[in-house]
Parts: sequence; structure tokens; C-alpha cells
Amino acid sequence: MKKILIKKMFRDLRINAVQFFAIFIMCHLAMLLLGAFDADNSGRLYSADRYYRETNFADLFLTSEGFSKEDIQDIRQIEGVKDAERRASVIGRVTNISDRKIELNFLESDNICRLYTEKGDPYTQGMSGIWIDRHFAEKQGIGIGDTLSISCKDATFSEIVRGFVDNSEHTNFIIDDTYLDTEYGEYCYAFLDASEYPFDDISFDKMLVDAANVDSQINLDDTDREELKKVKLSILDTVSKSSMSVIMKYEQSGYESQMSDCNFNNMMIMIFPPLFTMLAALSTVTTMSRLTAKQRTVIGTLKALGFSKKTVIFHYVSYSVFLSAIGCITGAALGHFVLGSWLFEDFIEYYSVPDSVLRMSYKVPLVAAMIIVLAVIANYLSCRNLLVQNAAVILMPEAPKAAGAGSIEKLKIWNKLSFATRWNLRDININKLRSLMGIFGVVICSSILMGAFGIQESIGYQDTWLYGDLKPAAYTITVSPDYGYSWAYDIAREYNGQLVMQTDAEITGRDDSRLFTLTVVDEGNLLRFHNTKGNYITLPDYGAMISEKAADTLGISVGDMVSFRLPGEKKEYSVNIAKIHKTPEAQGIVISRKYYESLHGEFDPKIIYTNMTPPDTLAVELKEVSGVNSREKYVAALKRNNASTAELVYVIVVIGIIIGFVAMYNTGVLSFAEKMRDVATLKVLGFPTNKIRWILQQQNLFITGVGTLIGIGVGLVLIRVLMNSLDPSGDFLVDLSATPYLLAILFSFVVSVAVNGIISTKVKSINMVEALQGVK
Amino acid sequence: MSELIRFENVGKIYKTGSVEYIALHDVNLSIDEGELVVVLGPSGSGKSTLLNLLGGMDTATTGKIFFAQTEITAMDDMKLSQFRAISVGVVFQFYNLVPTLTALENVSLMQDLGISIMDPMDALEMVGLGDKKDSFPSQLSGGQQQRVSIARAIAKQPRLLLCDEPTGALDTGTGREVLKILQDQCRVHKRTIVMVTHNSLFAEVADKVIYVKNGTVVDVKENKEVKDAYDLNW
Repeated sequence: MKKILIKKMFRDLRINAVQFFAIFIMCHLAMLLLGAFDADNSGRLYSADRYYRETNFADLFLTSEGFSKEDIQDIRQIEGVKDAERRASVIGRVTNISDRKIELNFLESDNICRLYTEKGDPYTQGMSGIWIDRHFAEKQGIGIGDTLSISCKDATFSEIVRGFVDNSEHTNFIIDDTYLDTEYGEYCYAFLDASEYPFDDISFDKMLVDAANVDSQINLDDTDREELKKVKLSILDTVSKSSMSVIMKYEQSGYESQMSDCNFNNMMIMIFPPLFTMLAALSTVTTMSRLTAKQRTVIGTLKALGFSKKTVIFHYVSYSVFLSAIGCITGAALGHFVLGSWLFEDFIEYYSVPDSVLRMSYKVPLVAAMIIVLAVIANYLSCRNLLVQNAAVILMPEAPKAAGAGSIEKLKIWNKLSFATRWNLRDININKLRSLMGIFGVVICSSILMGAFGIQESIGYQDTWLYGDLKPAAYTITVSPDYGYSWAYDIAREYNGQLVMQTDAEITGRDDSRLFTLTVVDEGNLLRFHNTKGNYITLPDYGAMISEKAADTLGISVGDMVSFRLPGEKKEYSVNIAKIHKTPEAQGIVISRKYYESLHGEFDPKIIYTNMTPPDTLAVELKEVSGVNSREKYVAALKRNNASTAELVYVIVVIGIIIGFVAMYNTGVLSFAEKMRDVATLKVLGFPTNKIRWILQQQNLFITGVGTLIGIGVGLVLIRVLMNSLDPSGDFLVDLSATPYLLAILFSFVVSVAVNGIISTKVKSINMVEALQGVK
Repeated sequence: MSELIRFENVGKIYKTGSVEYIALHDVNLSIDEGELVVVLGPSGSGKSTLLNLLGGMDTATTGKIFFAQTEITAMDDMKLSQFRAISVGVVFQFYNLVPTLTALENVSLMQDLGISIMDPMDALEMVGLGDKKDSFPSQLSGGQQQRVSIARAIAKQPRLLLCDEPTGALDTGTGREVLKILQDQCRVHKRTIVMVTHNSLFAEVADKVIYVKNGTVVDVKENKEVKDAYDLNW
């Protein structure tokens, strides 16, 4: 580019800094959010994928009461199975270190979900000693070579710590229901050689399978998924075992949870950066239209001096190239390193994936390039009409636009309208594009505000909904997996509790077959249900209810017959869907105990809801109780879980207000610049400043009103889309009170009126002579 | 002297919607190299349109315009830009300096065209503004701005210098100084100057006077005696 013209560009940018800031900030915000969510997403995917590859994450996870040598031989023979290995797991306690729970895994070999040794000796088959999870070692101050005393069932034994490890099967490990969220270091998982098994007969309750034709880890495609399903069916056909469960890798809790988080990030990437990109384009159009109009004489002069059309266009387009490039680069950098790191902290805190690193995907430079190209196109289109004209035409003052208010002028009511209303209607009609841009700016602002306030309310209501309306029980007692109905019944009787069975179930609908939850409810009133509108409904005695989310996924509606199968069972249950309910957790089917038993299902409850207060020590005193949690504890865990989303909502509200202010200021300034002559004329005619300001404010209020109305509609869609992507196993009741609507309207109008107030102060100081020169 | 410019039946019509406005009609004229030509006429007579067509800043609706035997009415936008860049210097009534560039940068702007120009500082010295090189237009008086505008126009040493009411926004004294500079450009530097004005006094400094009225050339007079700008009774 030309040297002197570059100087001119920088000086123009400095002089019109407020206007140009809009282009910069929109590009910056678009890339800030993209950079942040992309860094988090790409970091998660890269780190998890690398970890899964390095440790050969299993393709299928099998559990049963015990796998024999014949079972593993049979599975290894299945076409599509590359390898399989058995593990035996038992829960014990580390007694010499503040009595902590420990999950002991006894290995036959270590080829699938291999141990990732952080410190100490790597495990090899036949080695004695114990390999413990690194978080536990760090938090409890355990060193290599220390001895752990372990009690497990009736056995007590000691093991020397040989190494600190991570394990890909334990990326979000929660040892039992005492813990509602990952609390690394509070409990432990550990690995030992099978020869260390403390009892006579080792019972391998887990089997990990490596599929021959599935090489992908994180990026599974449809072929991989089909192959996994095929292998799963072959395993179910080959190994006949009661209570055997086969989970495909993408259903494994750690894997699924990570994918769900990435899905939310992707949704954010799909929604916000495009919105800001559109606003960047809008800002470019308004800013550059105004600049070129202001520099009409300069443009004409440059052309008269011999600068070609191409050179002049290139010069003016370079403004948006420079600003959008700077905005994109700084936004991407800040997004990646600051906001991205902040988001990534959640991943590091919640998942145990070693050597996690932030990454940047191709999307960042690609979108940055697209934003710059879009800004260039918007810039070109906004200046083209002026720049393509002859120098002589450009050097003439722009003729005022002449037009009326359209067909509305033919209506009888037209003459009854006030001067201000008629003036504003004509102005809007003459400057349709400018008015549309103004409305668009308000739409974006109010939709973001509506979305943010709506999400905030929905999330805030979730704990009241779940632990107040649906599960009002003061306590939840969890029965240990090894103890059956009679044990649960005894405890329920003692604490006047309601028994509930909850288990995975593969539900087959019209469109798909997916792993959901089967909830079987005994008599009682401590587990309640809402319909999709948030009103209470009762569970039919003989008929099933399906959650709205599961129904949508599987294409099921009321009256349909739906079949489901429990993992490891070949038996298929068919139920009639009588109602659809909405629940924030455990998506799937709910049926009564009576109905389930009439279908010959075995009622095996592990959850007891009660309003009586069990002693704090119940879980320690009774082996059959694995956890006792109060409603307050659940509410606190939920709030903790939603804290980062709530913080993100605040960030979005702030961004919404900033972009609303910038977009409205920008269109407002352009609008005022275009009305300058009219305003000057009104002043010359003797209209007082306040009267003129009120006329301008009226138009602004009209545009804000229309924009807010549309924006609230868009915001509601935004809420539903985002809430749906938050958690695949969860759901949110989007039954908003008037508050988010009022807040969105209030903020939009406050921003709009404030912006107009600032701009209309120029009415007082307008140079009437200068403004009217153009008319000449 | 050889002919530099020739108009053959040149017409210009402006259209606004369905309304047509005839700015020039069937104009025929000839200007020789090195002449100082003044175009006189009342407001709206078409003299500025004539100047714009001459400088390739606008396109004729009918007829042909030749510059040094080359038809400029047949040139495309790129060639017209080159023509303006190399052969034509323009001085505007309201100076039209780029407000965000200093006096020296406004003159140096021509370097951005990629053509060889005289040292911008020399051009500024020539109009007596060497000491104002770092001043922005807003820091200069009207006369000083017009002199920068002239420096910008002459820096590229064009064969044709077009001046649209160059003293229109200036007081008498400053206007006379500007007129003297332009006259020197013609006399000393042998540049052809076409000056549009409604001030009939300027006819006395011109070699040739073209009278325009209602879009047509009504008369062309050649002065046998040319006055110096400072001798004008203004």
C-alpha cells in the first residue's frame, strides 16, 4: 500500500477511534469466544485422545459377576475382537492413612487401558506391590516405597507402593455414592497383580475388549460406532451370563462426559462467534459508510488527482482489514490464553487426564480469515456506490434523499399523526437499510441478554426443581451393590423410606436405540414427576413414562410401545408409553414396581428416599449402606457443578451489554450523521434543542422496541438450544418468570436510551451553517 | 504553438431519475500548449462541467475530447486515472487538501501514484510555504491552503493545470498572490492553464478567454495584451 495513504489511514483511525473501535471490538469478541471455547475443546480432545491412544483405551467394557478363562477365550475368538483382558475389582479401605476408601483392581495383564506411570516403577505382569492413583498419593503425602495397610472384606494385608499412576478408565472416578462429584485425593483407585489377590478364588468382574477394526479414540465416526455395536452383539451372543453388561467406549462415563462438555463448547462456538461476526460486519458497514460519506471530498480529490478507482477502494478497504485483523489476532490470543485457560481449569479439575494442554484448532485461523473477508466485503459494499463514481460526481455535494413514508401516507390517520411521528416514519422509510441495521443491533443485544438471564434463571431453578419439587426427601440412602432387595427393604422399613431402582437400559425407539436409565419406583411420595409444562403428574400403575429428552432422541410419543433391555440381559421388556415427563436427571423410562414385576422384572432397589434423619455413621456401621447424603449436600454439589456455567453467563451478560452499547452507538452515530441536515434545518426554523432530541429519541425508542421484541424471541430459542447442549443426561425446565424478560427489556432500553442521549447531545452544538452547506 | 486540447461537439447530460439536465451542449473549442485560458460564465453555465471533462474527472455524453492528439473520451477508467495522474494538475476552489495529512504529505501524496515528481519540499518552497511543511490544513489560512493545493498540483509537473475558482474562497490580496503563482507557472514553466472563474477581471491575465452560457460556448477571445496579476484593478 501507498506510504502516505497508510499515514492517512492511521490518522483517520485515531480521529474516529470511537467509531472504528466498534469494528475492532466485534472482531475481538468473536475471536475471544471462539479462541476460548476452541482452546478448551481442542485441548480436551487432543489431551484425551493422546491419553487414550497411549494407554490403549478399551473399546468395550464388560462387567459381570465373574468371567471365566473360557469366557475370555471365547471373546478373543470373536471376529472383530483384537484382544481382551480380565480384571477383578473390590472396594476396600486404606487403614493406615486416615481410613480412606480404595478401589483395588487386580490385573492379569496390562495391555488395554494400560497404567500411565507418573512416578515409580512401571507395572509388569507378576510384580508385587501396589500402584496407586497419583492424586491420592499427592494429597495424602504418600511416597514410593511406603506401605499401605488395606482391609478388604474380611481380609487385611499390606502392600508396598511401587508407583503413582493414572488410568484412562478412571478419568472422572467417583468411588461411591458418598461422593456426588469427583474429589480427587479423598479416595483412591489402585492396581495390583492378580497374584496379590487376597482371597482364594479370584473373581474377574471386569473385562476390557480391544476391537480389531476400531482405531479411533475420540473421533469415532459412524463406521466405528457400527463396528462397536456389531462386536457388542457378538459378545452378547457368545457369552451367556446373567447380569453381564456391555458398554461401548462412547457410553463409558468419562468418555461420554467429556464428549458432552465438548458438545456444549461446540454449541457456544456455533452461536456466539457468528453473532459477533455479523455485528462486526454491521459495524463495518455503518462505520465505513459514515467515513466515506464524511470523506466524500477527499475521495473525489484523490480520484481527481489521478488515483485509480482500485487504489482508492483498496485504501478504504484496508481500514477494515487492519482493524479486523488486529481484533481477530488480539481476540484469539486473549481467548486462547486467558479465557481458554480459565475454562480449561474446569477440565483439569474434573477429569484426570495427565499432561493436558491447551490446543488451537484450524477453526481459529479459518474463522479469523473469514471474519476479515466478511469485513472486507461489508466494507467494499458500503463504500462501493460512492467510490465507483466519477471524481466530478463525488466532488458534488450529496443530494438529499427524497421520499415519503410510503403507503401509510394514504391512510386517513396520517394527517392526525404528530409532526414528530410523521418525520420519524418518513425518515425510517427513506433510510430503510440504516433502520434495519439499528433493529439488528438491538436484536443481537436483547437476544444475548434474554438468553443469558433466561439461562441464569433456569440453572438457578434447577436445585429447587430437582431437590424441592421432584425429590423432596431430606435424605438419600444408597445400598451397596452386593446387597439385594431384602437388605434394602429392611433399611427402607426402618427409615420409612421409598425404594427406587435405577439402572442402565438400552431403550429402542422409532429412530434409534440408546442407553438411557430405567427407574422403577415403589410406592411412596418422595419421588415425584412433572410434565413438560412443569405441572405434577402421577406415575400410572400399568404404563410407562418417558422423559421428554429421551422421547425426542428416540422419536417416541404417547401411546407408542417401547422396548428396553437391561445390560447383560437378553430379555426384552415392552411397555406402553402413557405419559411424557420432564426431569433434570436420569433420562429414560420410569415405571412402577407393580408394572415392572408384572413384566417379570426383578425389583432390585439401591436407592432409598427418606425424610427421617439417619445417623451420620450409618454408611460406616452398615456394610449394606454405601452412602447417606442429605438434600443440602446434593444442592451444594449441584450449585458447585453449575458454578462455572453461571460464571460464564455473567461473562455473556457483560459482553451482551458491551456489544449492545457499541452496536447501538455505531448505528446511532451514523443515523445522526445522516440526519444532520434535517436537524440543522429544524434548528434554523427555531425548534428548541430538547424538542429535536425528543424527536430523535422517539425514533430510537421505536427501533429499540421492534428490536427488543424480535430479540426476546431469538433469545428464547438461544436458551433452548444452549440448555439442550449443557448435559445429555440432564434437562432444564425453561419455564421463565417475568424477570428475565423484564431484565432483557430494561437493559436493552437503558443501553439504547443512554446511547441516544449521548449522541443527541450533539444537537446542541451542531454547526447549522456547515451542516446545511451540503444542501447547496 | 501546437494544439494541446480539442473539443469536438462535446455534450454532457446529467440524469436524476427521469429528469435530464443538459450541462453542456455541442461544445467545440481548441486550446494551445502553454496558454493561460480563462473560462468565464455565470453560475450554472457549465464551466465547471467543461473543466471536469477536460481533466478526465467526468465523462462526456456526446462528442470527443482530444489531449495532445489522444482521444480521452475513449479511455477507460484506468487510462483516465493515468491521464489525470501524469498530465493533469487540479487546483480546487476549496483547496480539497486531505485534512489528516500535513502540507508536505499532501504534496508527497503524488509519490503514492508511482509517478516521478519534483521534490515535494521544492514544490512547497516554490509557493513560499517551506516553513509550513509540518502544518496540517486546519493550521493553515485559506491562502496558505490554496498554495499547498497548487504545490500539490505542480509537483508532478503536469502539462495541463486546471483551476476551478482558485481564488473564490480567498480575500483580494491572497487571491492576487495565488493568481501570480499560477501565471508564473504558465509564463516561466510553460504549463497550460485552464482557469474557471466567474470573476471577469481575470480575463485580463489570460491569453484566451472562453465565454460559456447555458451550456454552450458563446464566445472565444484572444488577448493581445496580457496583464500581470499584480496589475489587476481588483
